[in-house]
Amino acid sequence: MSGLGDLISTARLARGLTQAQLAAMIDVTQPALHRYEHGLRDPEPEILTRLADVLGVTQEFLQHAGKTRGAMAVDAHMRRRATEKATTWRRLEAQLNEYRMHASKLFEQVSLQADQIIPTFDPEATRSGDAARLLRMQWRMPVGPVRDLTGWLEAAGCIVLLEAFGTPRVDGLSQWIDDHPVVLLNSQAPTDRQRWTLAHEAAHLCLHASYIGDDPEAEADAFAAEFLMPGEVIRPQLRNLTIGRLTDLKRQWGVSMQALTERAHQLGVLSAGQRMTMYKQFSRMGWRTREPYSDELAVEQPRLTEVITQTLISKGFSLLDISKLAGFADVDHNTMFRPAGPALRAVLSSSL
Amino acid sequence: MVISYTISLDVTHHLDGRTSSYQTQTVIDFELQGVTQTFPGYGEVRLEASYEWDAKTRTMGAPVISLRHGRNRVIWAHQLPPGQGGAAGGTVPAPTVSGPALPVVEVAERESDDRTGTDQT
Repeated sequence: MSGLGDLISTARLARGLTQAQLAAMIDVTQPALHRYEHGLRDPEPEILTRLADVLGVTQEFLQHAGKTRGAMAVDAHMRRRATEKATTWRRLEAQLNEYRMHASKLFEQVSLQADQIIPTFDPEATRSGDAARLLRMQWRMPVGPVRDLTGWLEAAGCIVLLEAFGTPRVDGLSQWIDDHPVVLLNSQAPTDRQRWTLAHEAAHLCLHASYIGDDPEAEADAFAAEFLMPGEVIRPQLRNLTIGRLTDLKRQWGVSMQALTERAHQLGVLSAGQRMTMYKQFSRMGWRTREPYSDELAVEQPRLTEVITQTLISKGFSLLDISKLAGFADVDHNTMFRPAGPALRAVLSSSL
Repeated sequence: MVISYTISLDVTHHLDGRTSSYQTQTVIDFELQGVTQTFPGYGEVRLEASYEWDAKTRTMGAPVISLRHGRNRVIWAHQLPPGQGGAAGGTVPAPTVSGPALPVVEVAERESDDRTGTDQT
């Protein structure tokens, strides 16, 4: 597939459209669109204009596709349940690909000077737990619970985007092709689950940027466990666990009670029988599907995209300029780089 | 006979009616009702007041006052109406910790006529 074909296909999937639906919207036949997507034919200029209008992107963005490092439609690391429908996670994967391309487009004009980086490790040579400890050391993180995990990732130049996925069965996904990794996180998940997903995606970025071993998901979970709950620090607190004690620990460490239970078992301070008893109590109270106290945890709130937006505004860029810099057709389509709260709108002089 | 009321606030009332506190000799003596040895003919009723505590969820409930003879024998226990002032229950907010500094954003110079100057939506 060509760069443009990949972009059309990705943007279509990201919007949940079939080939027939998009073809109708741009007034071409479905086979013609199929040929554009597979690089068998280049769309005429007027069709390119209609495509840009319908997709809400600039023509320059369409033409830009394929010129940057990394292909357009790249598989993302995704934390999801096996029961989720393929159409849903393919749509989310396409959305992440498109966000990455918008970020890449903006970073042609904007650069980030970060004090820290996301280091990469060879999963064959570095165990997941060791990689998590090394990352904490490199970032000079305080001992104990991780506060503001999103802030730590953003400080290393990672773009974190919160979006309602419309399903609880996909937690998040990440991708690292250009200089700045992008993580897409389900805003509908509880905070403790979001934090686990962020740590899990950080593991993929550190361990699986260029090589993926036999069981990347298990490696990412082991990394997340050590990163959020370092064994040497948390082990004494996990002895003699009760439901009440788990409640305290959840508030302190910002992770779910089930994650704490699993960690206690991994660290050898909770037997298999005790673990099963704990899970039976969770089930009785309906906590296996929805745990309490998640809303008491400090929310993970991305700030980097807003800071980029505010910096551009302070340099005299309008919201439309910023949208176009990132390849969006207009402010309404720009869901990535916008100030907090409702978007600013021009006020017509006649209404004053 | 002279009767006085003494209230201990240094206890925790559990949902099942139990109370707990450090088991010092003073506390054990306090929870045993009866005449004082020091002043014969002087009666004392010893009450315990505190908030209910749900140990599973780590939450405070209503204020409770109870009369008991010994630790486990509850004679009566009543929930008190919520007071006007003060505050109890809820959670202690985690201290705000300043996180890492976000990257510095640098913008490439552009020609001024590249910009629209207005926002059009």
